[in-house]
Amino acid sequence: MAATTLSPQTIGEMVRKLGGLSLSPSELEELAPHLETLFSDLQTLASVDLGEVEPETLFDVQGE
Amino acid sequence: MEASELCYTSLRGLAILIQRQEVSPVEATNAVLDRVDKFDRQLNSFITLLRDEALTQAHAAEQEIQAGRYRGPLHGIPIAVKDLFYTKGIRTTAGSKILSDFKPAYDATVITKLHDAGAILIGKLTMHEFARGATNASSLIGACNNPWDTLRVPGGSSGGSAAAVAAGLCFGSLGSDTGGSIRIPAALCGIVGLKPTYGRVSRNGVFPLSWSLDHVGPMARTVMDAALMLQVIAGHDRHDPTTRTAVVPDYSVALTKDIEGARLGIPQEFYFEHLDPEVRNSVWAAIQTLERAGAQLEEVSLPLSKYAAAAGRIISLTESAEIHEQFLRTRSSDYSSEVRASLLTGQLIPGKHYLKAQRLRSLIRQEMAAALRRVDALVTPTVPIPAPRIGQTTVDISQETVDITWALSRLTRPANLAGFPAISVPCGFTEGGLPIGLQLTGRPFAEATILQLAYAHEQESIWHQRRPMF
Repeated sequence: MAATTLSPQTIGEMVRKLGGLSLSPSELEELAPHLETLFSDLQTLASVDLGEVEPETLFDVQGE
Repeated sequence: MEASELCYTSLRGLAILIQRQEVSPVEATNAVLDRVDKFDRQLNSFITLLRDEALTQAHAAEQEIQAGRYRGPLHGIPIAVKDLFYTKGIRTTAGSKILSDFKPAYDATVITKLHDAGAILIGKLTMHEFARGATNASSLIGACNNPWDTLRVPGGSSGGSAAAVAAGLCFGSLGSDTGGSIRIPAALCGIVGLKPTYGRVSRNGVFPLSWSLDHVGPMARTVMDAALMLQVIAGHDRHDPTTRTAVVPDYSVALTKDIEGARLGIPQEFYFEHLDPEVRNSVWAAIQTLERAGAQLEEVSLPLSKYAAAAGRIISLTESAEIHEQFLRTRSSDYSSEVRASLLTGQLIPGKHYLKAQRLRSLIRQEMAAALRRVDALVTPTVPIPAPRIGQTTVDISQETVDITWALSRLTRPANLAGFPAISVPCGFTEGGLPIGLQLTGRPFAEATILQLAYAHEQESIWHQRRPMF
């Protein structure tokens, strides 16, 4: 998990906007490193050219 | 035979002794129960020990076998399972305080299949809370310890399963694998762990972590033992619509086939980067062993695998958040802080990012499928590092400091995203005596192929014969 650089206020605002959750200061502190990793993952995803591929559902894996 | 020798006999070896009535299921069950009493305080692998139930089952098995009604290789064999498999009337905690009193009303399909095969369930094994982690450091009963060094983690989330099998506390186990949770602890504890193809084994009655990534599979001390367990649990289940009707082959027959001419793909990107040097050396030695046994090596390109960690985390977090929504609202304080924070993070992921991750997953699967059209299996390390110390949060690899969970799961996640079968087998030890795992990944429903290759490697190596200090 990445070490966080976000302020508690910023994290609290993000959590309210994205999840509609109102968390205590200690819960926000716990969440911070997880959010850093999430944002890093989202940036990774954004960097990939996905072309026209459709989402995988995987409920029908067949022999290739 | 001494009790400790008996407990370290392979499942297959014990099956032969039981079939010949040279060892009774009661004798074998008492031997492992005594061993749990003696050693599990140091390992902390059992959440629930089913002493009376196990002995009742063992006596019944003994009577059946004496009456000439032998059911097959699992009849009378003491096993234990990860504590997320539903067991009727027996508490199933998923390693969490939240389910500490949960007694399911029915058995998971795989538990029913093991019962029908005559296996003796001696207990339920610890796991990372709700399978949401790769160390097994966070669980209802506290950290589980690695039998090779009790100051280190066994890996997770099926860490109790790996520790118990490695220490001779049972003859085989079942685990679940969403990002590597069978293969990681198998590698760190020096045993065999198989994640089958998505749809090969039922997930009915298995507490979910992430529906589209969860797999159920065997953990055992030898490849043959894993094959015998897979034989029993594989197949279509009308209670799990994701299971396939594909024919289940005879895995133990497939094992002994020659691997001459088998083509092994060595990925040119990602899988051999950021490795502990001792892991690298052992894995290359294992690849050379397979080459000497007749396999041909071929370079393959899998550049998208480096995105598997990001895609896998986003999919898993989002699906977990939905699975846990009710508990997060009503029992939030009963989660460990680490798992609660992880689940809350999943609640914050917008749908478009989940779909983006699933689109990336399609590309990763297509790329892996293309490589596996050219070769029979991919061969890689399972985990880039040996077992970390309990409480360790980062590790230095290739002059870089990285997060432990990231390091543990980075090489196993691609097979979960693809849904393809993958097995981890012991391939060496560090100078400090910690196990190292080799991973073989195969085509969909080609479990027989990777078992065959794993068996060929095992026949030429000695690593599976080593025992921890217990």
